[in-house]
Amino acid sequence: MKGSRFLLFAFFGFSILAFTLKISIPHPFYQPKEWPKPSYNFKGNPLDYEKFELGRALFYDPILSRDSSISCASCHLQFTAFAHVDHPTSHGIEGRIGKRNAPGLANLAWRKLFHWDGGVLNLNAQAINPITHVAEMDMRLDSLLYRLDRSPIYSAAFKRTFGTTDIRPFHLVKALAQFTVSLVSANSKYDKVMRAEDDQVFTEQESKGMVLFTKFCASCHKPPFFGGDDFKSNGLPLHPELLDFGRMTITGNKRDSLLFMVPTLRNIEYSFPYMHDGRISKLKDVIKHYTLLDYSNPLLSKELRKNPVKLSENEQKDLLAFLKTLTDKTFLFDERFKYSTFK
Amino acid sequence: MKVAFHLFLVSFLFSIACYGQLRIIPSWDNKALELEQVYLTENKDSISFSTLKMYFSDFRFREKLSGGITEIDTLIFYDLADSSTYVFLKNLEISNYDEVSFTLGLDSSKNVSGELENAYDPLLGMYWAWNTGYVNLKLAGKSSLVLTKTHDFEFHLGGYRFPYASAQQVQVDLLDSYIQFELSLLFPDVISLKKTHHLMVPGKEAFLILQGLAACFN
Ligand code: HEC
Ligand code: HEC
Repeated sequence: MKGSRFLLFAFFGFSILAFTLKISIPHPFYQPKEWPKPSYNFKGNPLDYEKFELGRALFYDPILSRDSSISCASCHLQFTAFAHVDHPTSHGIEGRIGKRNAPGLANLAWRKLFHWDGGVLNLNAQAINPITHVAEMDMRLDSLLYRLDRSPIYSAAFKRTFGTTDIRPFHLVKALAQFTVSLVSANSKYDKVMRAEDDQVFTEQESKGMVLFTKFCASCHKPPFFGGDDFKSNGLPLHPELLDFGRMTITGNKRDSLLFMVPTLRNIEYSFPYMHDGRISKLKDVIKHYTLLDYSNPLLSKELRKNPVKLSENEQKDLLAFLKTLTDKTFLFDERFKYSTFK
Repeated sequence: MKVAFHLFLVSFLFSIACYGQLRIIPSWDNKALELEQVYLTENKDSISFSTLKMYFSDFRFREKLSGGITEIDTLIFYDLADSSTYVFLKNLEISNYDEVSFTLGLDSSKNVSGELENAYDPLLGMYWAWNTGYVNLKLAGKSSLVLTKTHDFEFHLGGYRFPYASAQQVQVDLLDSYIQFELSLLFPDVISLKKTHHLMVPGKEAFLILQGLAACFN
């Protein structure tokens, strides 16, 4: 008697366990222990593994562009830290060329402002921008929703995950945000050394590089994100054809002329070309850029004006070695972020 | 007399369907405004409207008897082309109040909420993707005052950043259950179509026009 009752309990217990395990595959988003609280409003879009998978499929699906030719991943490629490989400014449908370089996507959950000019204030809403932008995907939202509605796979997926048969823009962008918010990069050599993990230590060159970085660069590229919600000038002159005035376009304030987002330096080794218009293609030339600046230029942000970057040839190599410790291979090759389609 | 009667008739017919609820009725010379209808300005220039969409938010009603204030912090989308948007705050018995103030447009916190649902739905065509935020009011049409071939005019009026936070406070007495929004007052004093017939960016100009629009509520 006793034995069979135990078996019965064990059976039920096991089925419940199996069931919960199945529906709770961990969402790839996580909070690194030493980091501050994220800014993303998770209450408005609670983490949900199935929604993440839906967002991932959408991110890789050219269905989002008018002529079904490009996906988010066409400009944001995982192996290049989700930046646009080798294109100074990004290419949209029909080869239309945008004004700006596609930045790498990482640690977006901790950001409040998006895009090089900070014109976008919300990660959910951000996705509307590339979808409808004429030089990017050039897709009308209503036509896109119609397309998704008519796709048996997507209409079933939205029904399953959001419980809706009427797909609205907020469903679409929340699904995409489930994917983009989960792109956490916190596992570079730098992070491991800081956490004293796996017996990782810097080489002598990297250590020297870190001292130089802290002295000259960290005032703007602040760890642990190495960039983010600040807008500064690092002395790049106005591009004569693109005529992009950066932050001023958004605020209308002359003092914001030619200020651009301080981009993250995480995975910087892979996210070339560099700067808002991709005008510098090699990382060592970026470092050179800082050493050759005209430090009397009043438009230069004060962090640089007050503390001119002086680096010998060897020191430049040290700094480069340090920047490479920000490469996070587990992130760049994370299976969970790879191309996927819906089954 | 006659014009008041027209407005009365329209509002009366409407009241039968939804008595006691708040409505905002755009008008031209005190007649309920109709899309694509040709009107004449004071100087006998022709004008017609193809779009009138706007947001209202943050309502404060003053109670007739007690003087108490009822606050309703919500966002309401109005589209002249869609009669289902004409009636607001369906649960409110408007005859209990004698004054209302509200915002024409949305304040900065609503602009950046990232909500995107219901009145915030980008499909309503009020979302500004390149510069997070919403258009407070869209007005488009044709007028002989516009000296281009097509005579089209189009205004996307918005912006919530200092110093041109363009949402406007409006306060009106609630004599009836509707609020009149008289557009003939705009031309040519507030909007000079000869000079500006297209405006799609935030800034001083948008701010001033919205200020003028706010003065058109009875
Ligand atoms: C045609 C190329 C292109 C496509 C397609 C594209 N993007 Fe982008 N993305 C860009 C560019 C360029 C920027 C920078 C825009 C700016 O600063 O004005 C950007 C910026 C972003 C940002 C903000 C990054 C930051 O650091 O501020 C996010 C998030 C993003 N894109 C996600 C997406 C998603 C999701 C999709 C698909 C719906 C997508 N992108 C499709 C080119 C593209
Ligand atoms: C005044 C603040 C400031 C300081 C100090 C600063 N930077 Fe920058 N950095 C910026 C800004 C702003 C940009 C983007 C500029 C643009 O695109 O117009 C940038 C861009 C970069 C980029 C290109 C990133 C990308 O994804 O395109 C690299 C690499 C970089 N900086 C490295 C450094 C290094 C190394 C130092 C120290 C020698 C340094 N920065 C010091 C503000 C700063």
